[in-house]
Amino acid sequence: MSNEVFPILIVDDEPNIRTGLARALECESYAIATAGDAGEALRQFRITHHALVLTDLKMPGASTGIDLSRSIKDERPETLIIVITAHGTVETAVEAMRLGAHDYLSKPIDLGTLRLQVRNAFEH
Amino acid sequence: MEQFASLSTLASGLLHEIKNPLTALSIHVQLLEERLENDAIDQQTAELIGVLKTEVRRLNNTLSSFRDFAKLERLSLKAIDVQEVLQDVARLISPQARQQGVQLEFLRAGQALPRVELDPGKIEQAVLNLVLNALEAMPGGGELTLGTEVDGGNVRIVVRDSGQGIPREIQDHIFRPYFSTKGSGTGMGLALAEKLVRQHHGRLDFRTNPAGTTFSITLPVQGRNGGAGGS
Repeated sequence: MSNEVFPILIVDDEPNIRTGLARALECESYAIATAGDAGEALRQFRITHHALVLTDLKMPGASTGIDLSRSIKDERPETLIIVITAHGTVETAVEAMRLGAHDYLSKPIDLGTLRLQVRNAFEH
Repeated sequence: MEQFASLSTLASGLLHEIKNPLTALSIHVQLLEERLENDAIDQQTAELIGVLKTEVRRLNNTLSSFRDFAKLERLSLKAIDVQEVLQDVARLISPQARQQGVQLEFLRAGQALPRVELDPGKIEQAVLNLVLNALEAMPGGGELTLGTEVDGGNVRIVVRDSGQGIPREIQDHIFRPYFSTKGSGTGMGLALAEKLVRQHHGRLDFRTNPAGTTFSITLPVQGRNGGAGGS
């Protein structure tokens, strides 16, 4: 990885999950932003064009993580997307992968796995 | 059926509500551990963090087994030879059996078995739970026998251990969800096995004495248009 700083957007309706994930990824190579729902995420994405979006699939409100992934891929297909899924709901993760998500993470989240997947996504 | 559907919806909502704070808790315990690791913590603090991690993991396991138990799914039926299921389970557990000093014996039926309409994954899960239970009954080694029999219009899967048997006072409770005599485990293994067998319109029975326990899964060869049954 070069000295480039990659903007990352973390989307989860649980404040303590998104801040925890943001802390876990804090480093000089990443500029982290967070959003609490798909609408807010899309607004931020349209301004910053994040290189990677890490999003929970199940969120309250009209738009889910699947809808968000679809909109982002429609607007900027080169964006890397990693989806977070509850353990045992791999079917939804498969749907997200079909939409172009790069990878998926199952809850409970292991921070070592998270960091590895993000690093692998950028090295892909 | 409607009663089960609403119970399943309620369970799924409750799981989601518990899973999220638990995920946040798990992430922060990991962050705390990483931060303290950098500060070269004393052994007592490391032990306290270890307890937090263990308990979070245990809660996650409990939730997962509850989810499996409460999940209402249609069966994905396929005509199979139940001996294939037993072979898969035997392959899966043979390293653990060897490590534990348990001799594994596989008894094939004396005659060709009729194929039975089953959901192979779910029956495998039921047999695996019985086998894991049997291994736990023989911590110091013993004999584990897996076998099949044909009995009239039924096929029977037999899991026999040479443990000390199930005490009389708990025999009526072993299929009850969350019933466990072990310090570890969720108490859902036998309850889930019984539910899965019932979903196939089969029966799970046991015979036990101080020389061991035999669990039998009896499955009707004809089946009964399998679905999300099990009332």
